[in-house]
Amino acid sequence: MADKLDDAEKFDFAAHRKSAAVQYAKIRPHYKQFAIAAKRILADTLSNEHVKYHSIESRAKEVDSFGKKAAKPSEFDPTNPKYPNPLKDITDMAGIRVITFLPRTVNEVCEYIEQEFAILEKIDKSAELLDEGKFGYQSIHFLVKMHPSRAGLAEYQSFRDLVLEIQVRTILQHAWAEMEHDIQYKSTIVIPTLIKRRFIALAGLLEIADREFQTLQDENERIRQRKESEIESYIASLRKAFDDGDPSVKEYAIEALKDLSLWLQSEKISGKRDLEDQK
Amino acid sequence: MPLTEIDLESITDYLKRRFPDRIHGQPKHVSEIIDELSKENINNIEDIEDLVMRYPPNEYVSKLEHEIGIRLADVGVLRSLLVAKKIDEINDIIDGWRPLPIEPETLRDLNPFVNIGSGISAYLMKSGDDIKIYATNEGELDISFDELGNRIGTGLPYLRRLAGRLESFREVLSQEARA
Repeated sequence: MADKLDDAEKFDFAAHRKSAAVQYAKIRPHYKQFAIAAKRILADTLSNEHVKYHSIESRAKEVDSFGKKAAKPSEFDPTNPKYPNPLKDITDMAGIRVITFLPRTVNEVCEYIEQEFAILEKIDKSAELLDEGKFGYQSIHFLVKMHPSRAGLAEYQSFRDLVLEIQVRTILQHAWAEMEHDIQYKSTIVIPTLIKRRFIALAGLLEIADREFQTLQDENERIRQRKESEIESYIASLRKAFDDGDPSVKEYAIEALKDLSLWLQSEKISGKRDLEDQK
Repeated sequence: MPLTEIDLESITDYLKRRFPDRIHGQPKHVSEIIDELSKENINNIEDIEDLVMRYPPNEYVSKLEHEIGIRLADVGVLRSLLVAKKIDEINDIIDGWRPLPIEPETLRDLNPFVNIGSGISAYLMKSGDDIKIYATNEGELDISFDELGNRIGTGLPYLRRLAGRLESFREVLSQEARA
């Protein structure tokens, strides 16, 4: 009798999963549209601000994946689901992921996200992992809504109450996370500690590689800036020589500017336009 | 076989064929490089091809390109090869002076071959067994492509003035050696 009562009170995870999946399937196309719209907003902003990144992906969570997540047991009470009201409790139905080349760009992208969306939550996964005394991939996760200034516009009005997850990480962090995710999912048994340790060690190595890439880029930029500054200073000297000098010096200044202009014919010298103007 | 005279059209075609993966200079820059080529007695396309064969671009422009992460346009490449050629011509003249007098050990020319103020003046000088440049803003420079080819402000106008001062400096050197 007592067993029958227990059975009757036991939460039906399978039914919960099925019901969540059916409900979500109906609204998924809308979330997909939402993710695409948000991706366009962010991509346009980054492009306008000349932020160089690897890619932006948008996605709506797969129906099966949503059902599976909905049926996860609660960590505090495993006899009940973690998400009793999945459509409300699960916040990553729509998502976009920005993958950058360098760590500093992660910060830049985050600033533009904070500018373009209404931020509900921002989680620095690396800080979270460090607090727990663990290593792992670094990634910044946001939960956002449409910015109030945009939510009133006709094309975005239907998205105004929806929540979007945005992840920002470097390409190396992304590679690590994808590999780790792949192994986690394909593994039918618990991942052995030794493999876990090796993954953690690899995360540390990739963090060093990320920093080194950043340092190399900074150093390269420093050299370019120094060269550009030398060029600008030389142009200023020629200009002064042209203004102050005798005819032979003026003649030399013009020839030297032409020579410099020929030499520096390239897409990447930012001073090129100035040089053209000087001529 | 008739030679192809250099004009805007023939050199533009040549540059596009010879350097297909480089940025192509605008017509006004192509005109400027035609002037430069003419000053260096290069008057037909076959002469340009000889220049490119004698001074392989990979060897003569890659250092600058690697150093500041730029890729020269086709006209920029030709200009650098002309610099290499001019430096060789200057060194041929200097080689004709050898052996240089032992004394004086060092001697700076009386007049600069370039003087644009702002501390930018350059003189010829004898330093031991070499003829070098003394630049007030840089110190001693070898007359070599390694030293001058990728340096700001040591292009064709600079080298032409240097070449124009060689004979006078040789006289100064002879007088000092006799004294």
